Amino acid sequence: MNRSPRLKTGLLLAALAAQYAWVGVAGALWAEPWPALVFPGFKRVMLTGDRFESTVYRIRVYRAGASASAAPPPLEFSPEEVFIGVPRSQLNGMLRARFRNATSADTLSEAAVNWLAPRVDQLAGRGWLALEIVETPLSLRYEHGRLLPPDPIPGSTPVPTRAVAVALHPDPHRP
Amino acid sequence: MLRTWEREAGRWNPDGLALLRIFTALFIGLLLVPPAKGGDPAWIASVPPDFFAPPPGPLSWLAGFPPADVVHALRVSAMLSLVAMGVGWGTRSASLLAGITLLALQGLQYTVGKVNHEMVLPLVPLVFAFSGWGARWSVDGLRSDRARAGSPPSSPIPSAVPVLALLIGFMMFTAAVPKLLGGWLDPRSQAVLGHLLNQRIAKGRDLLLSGPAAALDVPPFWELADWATVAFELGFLPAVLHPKWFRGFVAAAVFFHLSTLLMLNIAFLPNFAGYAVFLNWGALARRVRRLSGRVPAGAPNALQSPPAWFAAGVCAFLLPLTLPLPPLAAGDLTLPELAIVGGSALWLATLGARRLIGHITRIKKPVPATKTDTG
Repeated sequence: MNRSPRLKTGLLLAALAAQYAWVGVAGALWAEPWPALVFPGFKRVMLTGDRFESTVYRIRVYRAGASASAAPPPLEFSPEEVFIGVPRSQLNGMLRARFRNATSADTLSEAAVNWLAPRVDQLAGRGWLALEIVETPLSLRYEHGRLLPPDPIPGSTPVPTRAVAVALHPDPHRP
Repeated sequence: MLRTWEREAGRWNPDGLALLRIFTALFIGLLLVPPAKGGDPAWIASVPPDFFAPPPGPLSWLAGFPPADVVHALRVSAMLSLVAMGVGWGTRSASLLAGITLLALQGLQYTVGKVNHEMVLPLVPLVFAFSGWGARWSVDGLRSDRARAGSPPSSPIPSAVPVLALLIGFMMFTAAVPKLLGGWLDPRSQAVLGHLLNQRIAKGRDLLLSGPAAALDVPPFWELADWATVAFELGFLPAVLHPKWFRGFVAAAVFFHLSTLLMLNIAFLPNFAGYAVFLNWGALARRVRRLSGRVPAGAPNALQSPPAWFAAGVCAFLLPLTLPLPPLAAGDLTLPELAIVGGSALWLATLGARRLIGHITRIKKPVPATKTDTG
């Protein structure tokens, strides 16, 4: 091999290493950058021993009752059921990114509520009052090929879910 | 490194490169222009601004989601440049434009904050833009001297081939590093099984072998899967040193993707545009020439043209996959993904079995006696 191809190969390798370093720095400070010449790392190990841990997103929809005390329990839907049209490969990442630094005080904009309302109407009926997007840490037991609820630890409290975005129905009484 | 690749230059001779160009244009154009899974191509334009979370990089310069017209215009540009690339008309510019528009289309999907790792798709036209793949069986070739156009390769093998190998090898390496750091090799954890369970629970990907695999409570098997995954991804980079090793890893990658498709319902179809580069295009070109040579001399020119035969064959396989079929059951796996990944694995398995049988037959055959043997 003469000097030129060797030099070019070296430069290419150096450039690849430099961009990978940028991916590491940006990922640690903000989020994974794009474009970058990387493949998915799937770094997180979710099953250790018999303990399976993950995070799921659910859409919780509250409905009106005859009185405040008689309100029916909220309905829960998966993101795939509500966010019609968003590719499944993007959906969880989209919710994770949107709510990375969110607090329970976050509310969705009117545009977002109007975007979600027709689909939620179809799923929950038009009488719904509010919806929230809930991030739930999962901790399950994997045993004999099945996922089971974890053994309760005496005195422990249930894992809290985080309602990361709340939205009120634009007009629950509309025809 | 380049020398070992140069020994296999026949695989990417000008005719072979031309077929690779035509195949890439058809494969991407018919199946993989983003977003490739059906539905509204401009879905991103309908998402409210609450969900705008572009990744660091040029996308963060955008003020919000793009209008639908921008997405449609990019898709039309991508398709037109792929057509131009396929017929070899302004091949270099068309290849560059195809790569850039595909890259832009991919990027816009990621402005919701989730980056998919499909970079191989735009890389193929971008890297091969300077390979001379427009020199033969192309409008460029007909225009200027009818043989010397489109910047024919100056070296025995276009450097695009080892460069793409190096890029794929490096990207595979970047997939292995987080696994090593994340504890995939820890015998107390089963990472592959964990991701399988997560795809089922968090993403509803529970088709094909997902259920039976999730029920397979055999920790040594899953630990082996963890180690094999990391070894496979790490090994890709050193395999670049020799084309034979690299082809072995590409073949292994097909089976790797088959296993992730069957168990995790993830296909990674864009990678196949990159893997296809490492087929024996020179041999395929000779076959196509022989086939088209059987057409009687008086037949129309199109029927005697090897690239026309080749394009018709590729279309015959790919066009049925473009029918607007819904995703399989409740998941997001599509028929083209299943057909391409499954078909590639089946073809490779058949090829491997034939070679093995040939090898065994040769071993069993008695060696004929030579004069030296008989003294």
